[in-house]
Amino acid sequence: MEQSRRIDGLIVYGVIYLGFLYLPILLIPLFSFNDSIYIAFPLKGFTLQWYEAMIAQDALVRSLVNSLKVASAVAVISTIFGTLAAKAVTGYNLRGKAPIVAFIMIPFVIPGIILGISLLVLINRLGVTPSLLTVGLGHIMIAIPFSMMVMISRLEGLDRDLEEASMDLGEGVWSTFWRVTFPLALPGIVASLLLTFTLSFDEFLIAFFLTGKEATLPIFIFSQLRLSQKLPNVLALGACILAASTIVIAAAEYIRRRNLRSDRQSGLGV
Amino acid sequence: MRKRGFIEVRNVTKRFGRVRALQSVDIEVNEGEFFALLGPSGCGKTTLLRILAGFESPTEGEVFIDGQAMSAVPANRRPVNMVFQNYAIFPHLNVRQNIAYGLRREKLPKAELDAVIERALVLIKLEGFGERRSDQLSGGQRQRVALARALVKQPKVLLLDEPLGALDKRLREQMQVELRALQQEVGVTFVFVTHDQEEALSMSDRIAVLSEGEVLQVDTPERLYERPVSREVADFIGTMNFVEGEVEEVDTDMISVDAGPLGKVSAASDERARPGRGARVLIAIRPEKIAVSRERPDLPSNLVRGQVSAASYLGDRSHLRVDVPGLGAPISVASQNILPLLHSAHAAESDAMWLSWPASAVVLLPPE
Repeated sequence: MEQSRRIDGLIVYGVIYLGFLYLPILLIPLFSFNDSIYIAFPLKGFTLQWYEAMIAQDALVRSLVNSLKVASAVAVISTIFGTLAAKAVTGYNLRGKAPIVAFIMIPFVIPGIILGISLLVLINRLGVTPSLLTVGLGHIMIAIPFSMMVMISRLEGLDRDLEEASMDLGEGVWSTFWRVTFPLALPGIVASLLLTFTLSFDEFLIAFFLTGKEATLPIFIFSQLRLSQKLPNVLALGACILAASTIVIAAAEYIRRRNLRSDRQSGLGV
Repeated sequence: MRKRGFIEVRNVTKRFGRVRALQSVDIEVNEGEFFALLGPSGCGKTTLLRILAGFESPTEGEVFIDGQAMSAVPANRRPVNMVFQNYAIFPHLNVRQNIAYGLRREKLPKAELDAVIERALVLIKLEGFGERRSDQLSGGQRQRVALARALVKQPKVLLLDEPLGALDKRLREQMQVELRALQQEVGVTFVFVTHDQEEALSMSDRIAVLSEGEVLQVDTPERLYERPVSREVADFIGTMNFVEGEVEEVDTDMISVDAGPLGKVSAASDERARPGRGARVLIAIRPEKIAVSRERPDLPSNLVRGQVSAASYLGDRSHLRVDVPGLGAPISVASQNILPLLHSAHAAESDAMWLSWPASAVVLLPPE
């Protein structure tokens, strides 16, 4: 009796918790199909008009493309730098390793608004016009520490002997990287790409300060909130992004688990 | 024709910051030799191996392989290959790909490459295992893959870092025999690192004993055991009884030493520097060279009477500890149990026995 009552309590807690997390989010796809420009119950009827309007809205599509461009570039560039930095920190007896890591990790803890303002001041001083490029650079700055963290945890599990074995068998530094380090670090690289892409894709504060004429998606969405008749379009967009990220996360998790299994078998550790 | 001095380590010193890992090491290894670097952990043997491989460079001195100075040659261009302690099999490649790893640069035609790999798999008795990944192999199989991967490169020298350390005892004994047979089959010079004296004695042509970064002695297993040059070497390899003494008389083939409580000890003099009259020496005798008897043997010297303080029966042999009046430490004796047990000759605790030994078994070492 006692046992089953306690499990019931846990189930109730679990349901409330999940509801708290996901109900607000689920309102977005729900209202995106609602045939009314007012976001309020009761629902009026099913429509796809907001999706049609969304696709028709040039500025929205353009900002989505902008965000995808910036996020892709940020993901690739920060993962390259993050991987190399992680390699330096894990692979060699680097003098002053701890201060270097701490220094690179600083953007991690600086509030985004401070970072945004300081970067804006900087580019004004330098006479650079705010643009997608400056947004991208700002994002790379905050994405590198994330990428580095992911890659350090992956590379630390890597056996240094494997690279020495490769050199011993006649390969140079670069071919050793491509034939041994890279394939073994690949799951980490995929994780880093996903993480930094997402980070840039939905980053608002820095983009808010550094963006020029071309808006990124979060900036565009923010601008739309003032116009109530555009709001359902934003909901339709939100629903699309939600669907896309669910698919991406599910795929990433699938890949991670598969690698985890083969790592465990090969004794590589997690 | 086998070359002498195929590998020459000349006056190599290696410092890591303030720590001195190797101190003026001079070693010559001959072509086709199975050469062991033996010493306790931290003695510098692995550092020396890594210098040969090119993963570390000497602070001072030079290494020559087949007459060529190695200091300017990076690891990936040296005519040496290494079997790592944990084998370092690439986990993302299968056995075949692991063996082929070092052959990519040779750009062999596919058929030839396949033939090389197939021969390697036969050599290491892993035919049919080509598609397995490293996680599907046992420790012994991984070791053989590491061997094959190194040997297909046809190195002038194969380096092995504690190659049997990761295996269990039975597999280790089997692999000792296999490794030795493999070395004789391929004829490559093997340099291997071990802390296991039995492994070094049973497998090697010659052994270098290292301690705290210095080479104590380079010799054949037999000479290392029978004629150690110092107390340190004698202590590290096997068990040894030590008694201090003073030289009384030096003959052409015999040296007489006054060993106090042990009486007069005669030692066969060998070609090494002979101590002069009156010199202090350390007499060293292996436990198994000492014969035990109840009756006094008919000998003028090299015998002493003592009381057995401990006897342990080990089946094929018995270990005795014999107290000799006036001697600080008991004498260790290992006697083969050739006669049936309970024979009156067998010594039991508190029995008074005669110990005797031939002059050829006595080693004279410099005093401490």
